[in-house]
Amino acid sequence: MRTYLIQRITLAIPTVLLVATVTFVLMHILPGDAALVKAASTGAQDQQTLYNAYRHDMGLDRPGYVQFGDWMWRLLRFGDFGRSYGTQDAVTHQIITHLPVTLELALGSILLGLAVAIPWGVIAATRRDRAGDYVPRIISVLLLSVPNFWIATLFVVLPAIWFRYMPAPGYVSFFDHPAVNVQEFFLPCLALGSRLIGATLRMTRSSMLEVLQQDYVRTAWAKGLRARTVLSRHALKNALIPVVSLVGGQIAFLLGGSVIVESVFGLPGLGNLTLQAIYQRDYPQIQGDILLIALIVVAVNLVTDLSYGWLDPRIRYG
Amino acid sequence: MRRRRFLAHGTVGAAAVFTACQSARKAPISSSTTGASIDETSLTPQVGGTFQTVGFRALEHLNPWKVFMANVDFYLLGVYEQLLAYDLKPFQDYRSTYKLVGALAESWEAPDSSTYLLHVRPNVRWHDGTPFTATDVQWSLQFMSDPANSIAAGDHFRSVDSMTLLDDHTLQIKTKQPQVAFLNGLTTAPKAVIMPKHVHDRGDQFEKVAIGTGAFKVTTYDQLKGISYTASKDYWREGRPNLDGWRILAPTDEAGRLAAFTARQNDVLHVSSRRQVDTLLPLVKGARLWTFVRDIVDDFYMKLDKPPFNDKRIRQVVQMGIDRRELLKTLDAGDGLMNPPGINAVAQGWALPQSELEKLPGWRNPKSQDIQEAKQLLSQAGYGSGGLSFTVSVDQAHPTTPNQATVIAAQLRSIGITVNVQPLETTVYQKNVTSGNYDAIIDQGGTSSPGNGVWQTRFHSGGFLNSMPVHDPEMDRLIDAQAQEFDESKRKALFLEIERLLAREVYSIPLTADPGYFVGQPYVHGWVDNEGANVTCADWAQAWLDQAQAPKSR
Amino acid sequence: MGLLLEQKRDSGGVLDLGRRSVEELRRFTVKRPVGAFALALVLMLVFLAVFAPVVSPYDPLVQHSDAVMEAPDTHFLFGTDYFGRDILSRVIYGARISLTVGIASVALGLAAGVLIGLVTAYVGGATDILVQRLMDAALAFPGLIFALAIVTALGPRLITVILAIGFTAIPRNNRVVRGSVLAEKNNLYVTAAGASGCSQWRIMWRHILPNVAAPIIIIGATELGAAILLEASLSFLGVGVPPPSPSWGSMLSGEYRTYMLAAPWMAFFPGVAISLAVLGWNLLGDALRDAWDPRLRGS
Repeated sequence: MRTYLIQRITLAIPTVLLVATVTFVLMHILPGDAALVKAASTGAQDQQTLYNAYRHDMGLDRPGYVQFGDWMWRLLRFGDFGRSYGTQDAVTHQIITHLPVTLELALGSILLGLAVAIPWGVIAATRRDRAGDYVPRIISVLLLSVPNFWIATLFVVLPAIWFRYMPAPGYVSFFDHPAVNVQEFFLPCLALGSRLIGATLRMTRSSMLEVLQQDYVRTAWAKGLRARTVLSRHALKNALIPVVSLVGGQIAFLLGGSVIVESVFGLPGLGNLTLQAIYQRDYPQIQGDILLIALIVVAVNLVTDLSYGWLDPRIRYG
Repeated sequence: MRRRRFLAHGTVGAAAVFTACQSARKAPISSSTTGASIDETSLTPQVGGTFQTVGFRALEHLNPWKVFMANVDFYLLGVYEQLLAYDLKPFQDYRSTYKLVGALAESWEAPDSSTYLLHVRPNVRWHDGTPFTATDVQWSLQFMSDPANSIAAGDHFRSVDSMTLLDDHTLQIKTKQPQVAFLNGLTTAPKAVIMPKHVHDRGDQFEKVAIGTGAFKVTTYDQLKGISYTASKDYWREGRPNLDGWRILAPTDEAGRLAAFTARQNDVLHVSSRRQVDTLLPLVKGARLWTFVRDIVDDFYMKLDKPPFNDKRIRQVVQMGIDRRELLKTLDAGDGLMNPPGINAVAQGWALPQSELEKLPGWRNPKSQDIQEAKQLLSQAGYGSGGLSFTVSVDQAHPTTPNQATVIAAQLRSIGITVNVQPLETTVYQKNVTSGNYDAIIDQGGTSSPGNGVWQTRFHSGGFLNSMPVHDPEMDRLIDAQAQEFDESKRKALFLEIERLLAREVYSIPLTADPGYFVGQPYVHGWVDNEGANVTCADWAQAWLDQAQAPKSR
Repeated sequence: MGLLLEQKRDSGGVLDLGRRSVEELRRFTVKRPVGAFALALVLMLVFLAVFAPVVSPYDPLVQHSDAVMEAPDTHFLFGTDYFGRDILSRVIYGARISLTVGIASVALGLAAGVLIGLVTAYVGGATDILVQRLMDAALAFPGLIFALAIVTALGPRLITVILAIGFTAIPRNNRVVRGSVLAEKNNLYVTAAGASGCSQWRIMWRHILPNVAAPIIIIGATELGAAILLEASLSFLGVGVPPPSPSWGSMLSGEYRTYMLAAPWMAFFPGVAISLAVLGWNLLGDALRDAWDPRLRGS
């Protein structure tokens, strides 16, 4: 187990460094630059001088490799991601303030998704080929096909029109006002998690079906154990193994989807921040955001792999 | 068996949805007179309450000299002030007079055409209690105009020769040359607000600390939650502000702001479509509607030094091929006005009147005459049907130009010109425009303000936005003349001359002045709209709420 | 049944062939209804895309300025948008864009992903490790953000959207192919081929590839659904195939969303179209998987 752990962690490090490099390169081949955006947005007369001044302030007039080296050095040595071109605020500070929103959105989606999908998947497996099976299957396949930004749009517009209801835009922390916070995040989490619900439901169902046919489950039935015990103690744990792997794999997708859901619902999270930064060519911000997102994905994959190992002893020693 | 029943249920469901669509009948197209005003003079403002609205763009930080220009108007004009202002009344179009009144400058004199004496208003205090003096004014103007500080507002002061403090309350400004629009610029130059010298001197950053002279103080500024303001009780205007507080929630897009409005989380809205208004009003009972003509208009500019637009005939073809009435009909349900070149048609007396405009090629009714001539001219110039093709670049984030480009492309297609619409990301678009890398663009045209506006920047050979480029000695002469003509009627005549010259030479092709619709909650009063694209209050101190009707949270 | 078919073969004639095909189709539909439904959806999508000019009632770019934002009626079955363009026609032509982007990007992603996975898994060694690290790094990028960055960098056009979506699919395809190839590598026939003097390339192309073809095709079908969704997301964010092209995603954003109140049909029908198209491809992928490899079920 320990060698497995060490192996996975050591492999993660070069991955992250590679991500950092790719991000930097990608950003700097984007045409147009942040200095231009800033200069143009002021509506000033002498834009050329303004542009040159901004360019110098941002360090954009240095050669590419110098900029890269400088950024990497600060990053590794001081954990300094630089300052956002737009707000002049430290990138790390911006990320830290916006991250809780995205984390809550992602976690909420996963929790909500699992809470809905797993029980339903189990039920579908037990009521195979009857109504209780068809309905979840159809719904899950629909959820996988319907674009989540469409669902998000419907969730914003319909309640406003039908019930005059819309949570006030802006973020309220769970620790400040839990009721308001849950209200704020319920619909967005549902929208973001729709695809996850679809995928998990299907996976749970088919995995459960397979497990239910295994010998050890038949033995449990034969022993006369109650259905609940058979399902939960014997079948579910094994059925959930592929589900864990699936959920872990969906993290990258969730973080990407949060960009859209946050912008539709007006939630000031990391996804929205990154989107605006891309539009405004706010390089330090984009680089910091993407690096962080990639770090999260790598970390989650690591955790998933490890829990996979914990759940399935065969892998641990394989 | 079950499968079949399920299919039956499904078909019924689909039929229900289809019927629902049918019942959403076409909204009635009702035209309204533009610029209609609501009369609130008989109402007495109530004191108290908090106004709440939703942002359209995140505020980067609190320094009005450096934030995105539209953000200053939206977020910071309640906190900071300028030397002069226009005479603003709720639901009235201030552009009919452009009358200047004093703000931080109580009064002013112009002993000669290059000298101004500004008398700074006495008994004004900064939000931290420090007295406001002419030193603050002198320091602010000098700081802005210093190129080392890279402040956009400083451009306006390049033409200043000297700024001298005559005493504690009087500032003398001498301009290098007589400039008619110098004072106007003190209200409109990219936010030439006056900032506190003492805050700067003690090392605080304006990005983080907001101390102004305005009606409201910033209480909390949180990128996630939004910004809240509280009334400044010793504001210099007697009895103002009416409100206790003001709240701007975290920004969302237009659909979100609309939804927030129907849910009473948002007190005001700018809607850009008449149909949207007609659908919205029944949903929010008692909502107030005020129609105006948008100030900033867009023109069609062409690269004049390369084919195809170096040939004046081609420019004329496009001028005649564009059907402005159809633009208005498609995009604005028939509301709005057709513009003369370089200025908003709303500027009465300064803009060519519609009656003269309608006789010029391109504006004639019925359109068939223009179309016929255009086709003839096109083949004369050597491009048979389908031979001419060019690209129109637009800023994809702009609320109206991409749509205008699309309609124009369709119109020109019907006379045999292939137009490729190229929406570009803002940064790329800006770059192309400044460097002249385009065939044609749809970019900001004139306003209704009698400042130097677009003549100086776009059509004068020295203009910094003149990337077409236009080098016309007659144009330069006219533009220089109007900049120094203090007699208003003579100046108006010069304006008309410039517009006629533009229409003849087709250096740019004007489009339309679009209507804007302000929709407010039933309890919103005293609203002064800045008549721009985003719903922005031009005078926070006058707004008030009818607390009997407002929701409890206010 | 086999005997029956043998007997029938003697009696020739086109009519008989037709009757037998219909019979086969009916049997297929009854046996695998989901697969049949999926096939129907996909075929309709292809049909609309290919025959768009014939099927659609109007030109999707023509603006009927006196019928702006009209509700669905007999003239315009799906209503019109804020320029007065017929939405039904735009939805039909949108199928073209979705299918083109989908097929091209999936082909690109598969070709590159399969190539990389096949070669590195078979060859192994240092190349394998290095390339796999790169793939892992690429996998750590959320697909949407990666595609967003690429399209922004290269400018939003049809070709760049295809490239971007194809690129994001490469790491996933690579992983799947790799797994299959690693499994196949240890089979006897591979060793036998090597022993009989086949070159490495020949072994890969002629022997291994056909045996891993099934998972590749299955992935392809599901990827098509994902590609259509990704293209719609990019258009939604404003960086997809540029207007006035009637991309389904762009018909769900911008003014279409803002005017959901005044004209809900504008966003409704494109949303349904996307959902049906993606549904079709997803179900098709499922059906193929059920038919060819029950082991991969639920994966």
